[in-house]
Amino acid sequence: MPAPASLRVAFDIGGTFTDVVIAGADGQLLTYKILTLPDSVGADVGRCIADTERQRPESAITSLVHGTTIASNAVLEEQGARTGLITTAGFRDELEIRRLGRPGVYNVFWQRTPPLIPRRRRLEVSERLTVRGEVETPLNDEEVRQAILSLKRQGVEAIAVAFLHSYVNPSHEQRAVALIREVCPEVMVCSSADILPEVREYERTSTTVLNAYLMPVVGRYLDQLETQLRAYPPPLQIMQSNGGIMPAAQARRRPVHMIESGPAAGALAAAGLAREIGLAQAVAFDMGGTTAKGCLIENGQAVETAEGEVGAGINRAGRLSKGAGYALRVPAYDIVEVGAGGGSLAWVDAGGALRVGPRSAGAVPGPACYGRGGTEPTITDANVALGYMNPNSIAGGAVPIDAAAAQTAIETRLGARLGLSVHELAFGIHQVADATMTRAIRAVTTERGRDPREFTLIAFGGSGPLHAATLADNLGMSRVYIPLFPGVFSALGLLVADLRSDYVQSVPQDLDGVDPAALLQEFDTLADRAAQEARHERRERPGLTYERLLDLRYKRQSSELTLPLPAQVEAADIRQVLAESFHAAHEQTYGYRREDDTIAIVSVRLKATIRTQSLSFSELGGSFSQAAEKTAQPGSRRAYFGRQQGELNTRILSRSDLVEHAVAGPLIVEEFDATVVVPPRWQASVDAYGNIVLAKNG
Amino acid sequence: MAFDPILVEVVKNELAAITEEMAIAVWKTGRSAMVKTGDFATAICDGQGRLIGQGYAAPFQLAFFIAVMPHILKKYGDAFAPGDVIVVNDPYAGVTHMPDVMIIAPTFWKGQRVAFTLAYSHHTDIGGRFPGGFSSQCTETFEEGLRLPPIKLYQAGERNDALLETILANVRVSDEWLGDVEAKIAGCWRGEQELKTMLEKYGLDTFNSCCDYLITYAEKATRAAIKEIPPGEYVYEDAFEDDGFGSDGVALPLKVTLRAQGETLRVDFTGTGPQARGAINLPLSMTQATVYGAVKSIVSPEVLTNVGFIRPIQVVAPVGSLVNPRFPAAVGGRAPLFFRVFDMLFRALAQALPDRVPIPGEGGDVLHFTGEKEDGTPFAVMDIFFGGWGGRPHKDGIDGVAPMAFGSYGTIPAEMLEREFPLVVDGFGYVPDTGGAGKHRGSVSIYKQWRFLSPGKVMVRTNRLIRASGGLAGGASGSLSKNILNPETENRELPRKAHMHMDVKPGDRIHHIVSGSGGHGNPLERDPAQVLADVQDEKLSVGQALGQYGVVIDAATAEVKLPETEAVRATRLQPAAAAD
Repeated sequence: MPAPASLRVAFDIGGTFTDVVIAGADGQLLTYKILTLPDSVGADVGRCIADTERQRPESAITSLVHGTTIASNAVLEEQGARTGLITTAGFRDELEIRRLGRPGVYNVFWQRTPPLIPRRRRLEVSERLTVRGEVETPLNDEEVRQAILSLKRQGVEAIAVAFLHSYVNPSHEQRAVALIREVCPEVMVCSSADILPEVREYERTSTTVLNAYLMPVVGRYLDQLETQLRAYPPPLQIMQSNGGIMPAAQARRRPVHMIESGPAAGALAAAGLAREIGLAQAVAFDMGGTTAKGCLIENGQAVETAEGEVGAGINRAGRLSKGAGYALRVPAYDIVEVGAGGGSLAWVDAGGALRVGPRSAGAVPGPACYGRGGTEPTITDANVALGYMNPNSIAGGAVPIDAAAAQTAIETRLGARLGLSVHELAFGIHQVADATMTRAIRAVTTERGRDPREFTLIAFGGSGPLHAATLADNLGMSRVYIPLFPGVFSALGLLVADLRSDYVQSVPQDLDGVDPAALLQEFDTLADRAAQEARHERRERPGLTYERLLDLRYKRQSSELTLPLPAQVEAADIRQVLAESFHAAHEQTYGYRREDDTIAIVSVRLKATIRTQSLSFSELGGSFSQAAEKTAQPGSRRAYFGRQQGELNTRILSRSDLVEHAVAGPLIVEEFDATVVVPPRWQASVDAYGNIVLAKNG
Repeated sequence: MAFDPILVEVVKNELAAITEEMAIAVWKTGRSAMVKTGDFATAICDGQGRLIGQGYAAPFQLAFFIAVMPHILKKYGDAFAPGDVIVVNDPYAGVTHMPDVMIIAPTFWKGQRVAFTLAYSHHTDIGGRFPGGFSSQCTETFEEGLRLPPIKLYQAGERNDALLETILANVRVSDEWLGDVEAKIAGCWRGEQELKTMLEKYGLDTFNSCCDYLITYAEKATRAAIKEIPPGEYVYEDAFEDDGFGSDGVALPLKVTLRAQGETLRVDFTGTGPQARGAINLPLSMTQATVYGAVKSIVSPEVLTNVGFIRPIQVVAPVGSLVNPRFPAAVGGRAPLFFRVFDMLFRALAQALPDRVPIPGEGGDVLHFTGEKEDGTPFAVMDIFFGGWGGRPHKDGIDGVAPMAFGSYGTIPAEMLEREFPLVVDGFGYVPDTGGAGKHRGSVSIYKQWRFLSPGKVMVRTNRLIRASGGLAGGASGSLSKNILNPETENRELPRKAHMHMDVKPGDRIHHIVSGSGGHGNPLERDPAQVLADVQDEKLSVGQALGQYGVVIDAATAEVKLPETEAVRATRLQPAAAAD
């Protein structure tokens, strides 16, 4: 009997829908979109798998990969565990005070998100280390015991321990953790030196507290999911914020790494596609119902950052105003999110200017054109009024569209104030939304010293393909890819992810004085830890590879640039190689270098990766026949393209109609899960991978 | 060009993105503690020198660029070339004190001057008698450090090394000084590149007409917002307790009269006392900045920050007064009076708009510490931090956050301070029973305790050592600020001076407490559940829950005794003040 063909299962659980994508060894994909019902989501995913198994009797499930918003939702909705914090005497309030900053400047009614742990459960103990890790005041065991008992009385499920300078010497934290395990074995515990051994106490403490806060919630969630999926033997794997996956066991210990699990999958999918089709520089653009997200892709990799905040609502393009949410310093894709999705509302401000978002009509009442009681105009209403979206129904007929309602909403809410026609207003909404999203894309390009004109846009998400071409125009980009399955594209990212673990260790010192052997030893120590953890999780696979990185800055700057340490560098050359690459990176990012200045190392980082069997987008092209079946009723309708072009007769086609030859805009491609707008002066074709390629003429 | 609301919105967003990018370059590459904490701002002016966009600016910085540009244009006329970089810190040329050094670079496109990019930041030192350059104990600006009128640091791309050497020879920690200036120049040049890209897209005519529209739009929106203020005169008087040299019997009169009439607002400081001997005076540019920042925060927070916003607002500041001193009066230590005037403006506005005005909050206190490290290298550090916001209509204040006059300032982590300077932070947190009581409580005090590892010179700037942050709408005052030397041994309170200088020796500790902020509304109306939460969080004692709020709490069970509370509250008429 031949070995059963493998089936790889990916499922992305969002607030409204769960996307399930199952890939066969032959590249064929089966996709499911089901409603997210929290109590039975595992069972519902199981039913999708069972359905696939019925269609493919000679097959076996070989992997289960999961992307989820459970962690970010727990933070945003304050649904995490009751948690306690034990800190160095004098420092319990920093978690609440943060760095004293605030976002925005003129909002005197701003409300800070409450700390995840209230003051009554933040307790101090006597202990103090110096910057060099020497013990100045020994840890007082008795005070630790008292603190634990007090937290136990307050009913905590988890305790975080964060002491000053523990990144240099973790012994006090380790002792406190041992005491917690002894006094209160049922409580989950994590320490800052274990979660993030990195200098800067607020960021380290906040990250550790987030981890503790999530451990019980994520643990219970994974227990339930594993129970409901117990019929399938492969171990459950979880998408991290950085596009790597980790075994569920690791997710239970370090849930702080999966906060941006959902958005990361889309960026990873775009990066995988870019790598395979040979795009060195691309921007992933994911526009859904409430937000749009942008992520830079360079050399086939989504760009990462370790400076983030969670819980602050929408992550505006500006990065200077911190203090709204909770600091989070774990490697994550550098995804910028703005409040512009299909449901974002259009309005007129006091000065008479048209504004869009960040308020959204949400699922209820939704856009006016959905006919569920919405009366305020949204971006989706504008796209209907412009003739871009089907005026009768979308999603293969599942969602009826009331075009008249869209026009009425725009006319009554905006027309009277601005004195423009419905077409002009709708086009204005479209343009203002583009401007907001332009800011997001600029935040990940120009702000990083990258010229967007050199990049290709990869657009997906329910609304992305509607705005992709005009957004590209704004940014001077002349090429756009709309991948197959744009509506479930994020779930595909789960199928291209590698196993990954990240380690950091602060080792502050001037580069000039670095002992190369000692520095390399720091990396080796992290590598030993990575290998040990991999063994512990029984993933002793061949091909555990390491990438070594360093955080560097000119001495006394406030932030660092993270640079790779070349794999083959000779110990004797390390200082010089790092100095050269830092000067160059600083110049590229900020426009100048100071050759005569002291460079300081802040931290070393190790990225440990195990390659998995990846989805191939070229094989996916094999599914093209399935995706590209005639989705549109061929024909045409009137669509509006601005004052100069006016209303134009616009053809309606399916993706498969573009295979033979390129078609010039104006043109609309209707698919089951998305609508692609090809404005005049753009043309559309389909490449060998099934992507729609939009190209600017001339 | 017809008014195009869409193009305006697009250009507005692009300008915002450009000024933000400029700010990021300054913030991430600057060296000094002040840049790290956020004491800087960036802006773009159009070719006529009109402010059209500001990135990351605190309310009090709103007018800085507006005040400087006329001086630049007056001096240079049309004598600008591509590659010019102008430097200025003269408080009598629009800058508000000399540690603030501003960089201005013209942007040329197709041979024409089309814009200016600007960046300023507060430097850790500017030479002069006192490290830091913002001591109040100077009587003439000549004592305060190196005064730079608008001069070209770069002329057509060529650096003036003689000028630079002269500056660096006059400032403490010159390397850090240069690093900050380079960061600002990098920010300005980044802005210039981005502006040129934008001009390629829209052309100069469209850009200029967008600037016109954005300015008119801001003016129109501000006029509409001012019209909502009930017409009338609103007067607030206060006194300032420190003339720069001390506070014994000092009470300098402060008076502001707001006159709202239709679409215009007149802010008149007539009645304010004559300029002080010490450096606490507000130069006119700072007074204007304070007015614009305060008015915008309350009246028109959504309006764009460009020059159009200030047009309907008239500032009257008598020459020779505390808020418009004559040259060469010293102004380096202007911050405490600026905070007070900001607070006064809020309280005057509260009379007109009681439902929209909170108590702006306290802080902006600073430790300035200079000396030599063990290896002989000089160091200078400024550690700035804050109390929190006062009570607000319908909302509590916020415990520990940059005050409303400031932007998104942030403290330097203790672990970084300890790593870079001979300094240890023993603690940083809340002080119970210090928030102004009110239906909506003001922030509690924040303390910070520094321990010094090297001998050196210290200056501590402290607000509200003598006059507390008062309540509003029946709320009580917050507690006062305080500095205590070596609390565990001599436990001596340091003199109540706004700028207090002393020498420290290794092992000395200063325990600094920032004042609590006033409460809003009658404390007897505060929800007992909120009082209990404060008790459980040890921000309020059981005794003060009763004393300030009339709430009876059973300490053993952590429960409110409601009948007793109602009985106590029924007997009270007046709110009690917070404990000191």
